[in-house]
Amino acid sequence: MLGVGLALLALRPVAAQANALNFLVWEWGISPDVVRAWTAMTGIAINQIVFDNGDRRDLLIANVDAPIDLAVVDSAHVQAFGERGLLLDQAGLPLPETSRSEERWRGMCGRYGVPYSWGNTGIVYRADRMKVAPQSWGDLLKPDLALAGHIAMTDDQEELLAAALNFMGRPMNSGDPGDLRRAFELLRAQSPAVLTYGLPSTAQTRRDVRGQIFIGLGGTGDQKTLNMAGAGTETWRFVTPREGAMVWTDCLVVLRRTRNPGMAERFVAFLAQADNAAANAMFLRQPTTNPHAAALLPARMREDPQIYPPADYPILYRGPFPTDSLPLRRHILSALLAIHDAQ
Amino acid sequence: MTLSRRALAVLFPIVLLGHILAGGAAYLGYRHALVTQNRARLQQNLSQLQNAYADYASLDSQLLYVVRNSPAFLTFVDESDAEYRTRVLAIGVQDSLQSLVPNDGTSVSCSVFQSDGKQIFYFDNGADPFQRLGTRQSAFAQAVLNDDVASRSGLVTEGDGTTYLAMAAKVLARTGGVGVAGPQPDQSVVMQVAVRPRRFETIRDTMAREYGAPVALTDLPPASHGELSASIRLAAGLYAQETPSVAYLRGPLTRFAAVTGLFVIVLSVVSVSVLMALVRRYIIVPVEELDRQVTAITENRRQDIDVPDMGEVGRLAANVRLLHGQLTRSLRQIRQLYETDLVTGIGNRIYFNDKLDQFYQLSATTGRPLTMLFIDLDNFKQVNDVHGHRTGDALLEAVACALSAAVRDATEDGAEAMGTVARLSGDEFTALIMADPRSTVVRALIDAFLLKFRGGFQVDAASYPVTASIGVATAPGDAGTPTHLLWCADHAMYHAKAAGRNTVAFYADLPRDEAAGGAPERGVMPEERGRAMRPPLPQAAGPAV
Repeated sequence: MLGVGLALLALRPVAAQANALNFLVWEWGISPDVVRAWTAMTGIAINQIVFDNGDRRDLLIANVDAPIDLAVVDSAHVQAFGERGLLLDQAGLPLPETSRSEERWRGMCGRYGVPYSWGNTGIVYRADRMKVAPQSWGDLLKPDLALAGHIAMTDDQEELLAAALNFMGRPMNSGDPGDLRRAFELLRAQSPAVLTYGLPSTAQTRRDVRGQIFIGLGGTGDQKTLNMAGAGTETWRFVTPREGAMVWTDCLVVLRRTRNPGMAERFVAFLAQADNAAANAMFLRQPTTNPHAAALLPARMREDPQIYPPADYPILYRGPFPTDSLPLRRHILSALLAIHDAQ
Repeated sequence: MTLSRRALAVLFPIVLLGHILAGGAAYLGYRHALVTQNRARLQQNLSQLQNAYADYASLDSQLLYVVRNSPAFLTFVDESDAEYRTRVLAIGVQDSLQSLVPNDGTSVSCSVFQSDGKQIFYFDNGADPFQRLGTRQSAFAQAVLNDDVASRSGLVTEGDGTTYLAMAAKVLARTGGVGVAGPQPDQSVVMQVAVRPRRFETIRDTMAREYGAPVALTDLPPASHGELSASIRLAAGLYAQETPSVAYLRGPLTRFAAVTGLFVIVLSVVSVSVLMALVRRYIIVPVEELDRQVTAITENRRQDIDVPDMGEVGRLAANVRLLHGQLTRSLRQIRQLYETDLVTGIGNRIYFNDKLDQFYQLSATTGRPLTMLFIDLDNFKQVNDVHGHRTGDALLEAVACALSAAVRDATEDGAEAMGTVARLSGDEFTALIMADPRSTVVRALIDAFLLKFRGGFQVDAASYPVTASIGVATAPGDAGTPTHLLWCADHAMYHAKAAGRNTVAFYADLPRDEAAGGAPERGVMPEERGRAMRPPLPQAAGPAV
């Protein structure tokens, strides 16, 4: 929250520039090469406002004073903002066929979003620290004693509880208080072994935990970010647990309050181009939503189980979570943080 | 009762009473100090309670003020779409609150109620995510909605006994300002912040345990309940009062009373012991010593009294000694008068009887013979008749003087001889000599005495024709008892008279049948038996007067 606030303050003078777009995106959520190509082509700079937590991202989008032109938003959250009138309708955006994503992704992003990338939740781990690669959520949620103090769990309540619920064989987006109570008990039992609650890729940059994380809850492509800090040694791996995973798709949305909607939509179209989408996918180490872009990817990447989850693994497409369960889900997270702080 | 007991009977109650009074005063002083000290401590505890309450109330107030003025909250309450509000905006309010809550374990909850009473937000920073706002806290918040107040704060205790310090305030939607008084169902929401005042509760519980009575919370200033009761104002319309149980001071007071009582007893015993030692040394022992000495004097084991050199006892001893001296002298004079014949100045019959017993005992003890002379003057009546009683008395005095001189002279030279004289009655005299009757001592005495009568007895240059008839008897030779001895001597004297007067007759020389006949009963004196028992006097002519 504080980080986002500081980012906003830093953004204000930039926002005054007419030839720039303020882009709300995950940290390392876009290929620098693609951004450079865009700026070279259009002369429009891309100011990246980064986030690492979906709830806080949503707050920024909801804050009408936040000078954001476009954003990467999880498909599960797009519809609400669109209906709220915060987003421009993308249904009429003329995208060529080669820029169009698969129907399933377009359906998830709806009329207010253009599919950007997809991936699934899973486990990131250090291959040099784990003799046996994790295969199950149990390896993370009921860890060996040796992993105590080396675990990073995300502070995104949706993904955190989804992992626990999935491990327990319950629907990952369950709003049932009983399910959530059991998930909380599981996570509470795990909490003494947890080093920190935060995305492993973000937590790794903190001085106090750097080098101590061996395993964590992450998403497709997080191993790339983690390995970027490894000075060329790619020790981080990503694995989809055999119990299954939650599949998300991120959508590009243009905020209605942008002062340059045309340029913003042009940037969306630029990113949707097959070549740019492929370049981005390779940078992100995430699957692309565009089949034309996918065709451009090397076979090694298309066959990489770290990027494309095994076809026979159960998956759940991430959709809107029951609204009435949100206070409890957030409360579970804050309780875990309180318990962890008390330890 | 002895002096020591009297002294103890006097001293112990006085000392004990004094110490009890002192102990009582000490107890009252201690109690006063204890009450004062505990009242100060109680006030201090209440001040701590007040400070703790103020801290939590301040936290409530700050959280309420800051959060309700935060953009996140204003956006939240301005939003009419409940779903959107929950999905997107609620996390902002939660973040605002969490960024403000001190990271010291303080439990804080925040809830928001719509004007229709529906709760639209709840969050707490506790470790139990399933915790919901308690019904009484909820009622507390809803009461603000319905009452003509802008805000309210107070302690709310839930059914499980957990207490919260809640502060609820009306917030006008769209402005965030404090709602104007009165229900405005369409515009106002109520925001309530509640903290769990653990430190306040801890102090309260500690006080309740320590004082044995709960800290009472009242709306009105409480009346005092006893000297140790104290109260303090926590907030407007909220007062805390602690009235310790009666048992609270009982412990230390009982201990103090026990120690003081023991001390009083020990001190009393020690004091009385010291006092008794001093009294004994300076009063009782001298008095006892005086008593011993007086007793010894009365028992003839002592002659005089030592006078100690100290105050009243010394004076008492001196006075007793003086009194004793005077008594002794008076007794001696009385005895002298009692035993002295007034006419002759020598011992009388009483004196004689006493001496006879003494000499007889001495003789029986030592084995030395005792000789008795029984002397009767011849023709004395004629002197009396012719010259008058005065002359007769002078004659008797002169005879006594001569007899004394003769005995004195006779016994002076003899180292072992001793003797005494007495006038029995009329013209009868006796002399007792511790010597054999045939000894030269007795012989010389008789001779010297009879010599005085030769040619008339000389008194003041006048000569009177009296002579002396002397009977001599001895013990144990003649008699086995003092009375018998007197009788024998008397009997011999009559023989001397019968033999012609002015002569001596030894009882041992009397014919046996005469000597044995008519022996007196024991203890009967010659004159008491009557003259009838005596042998008839021979009609011999006595010396011429």
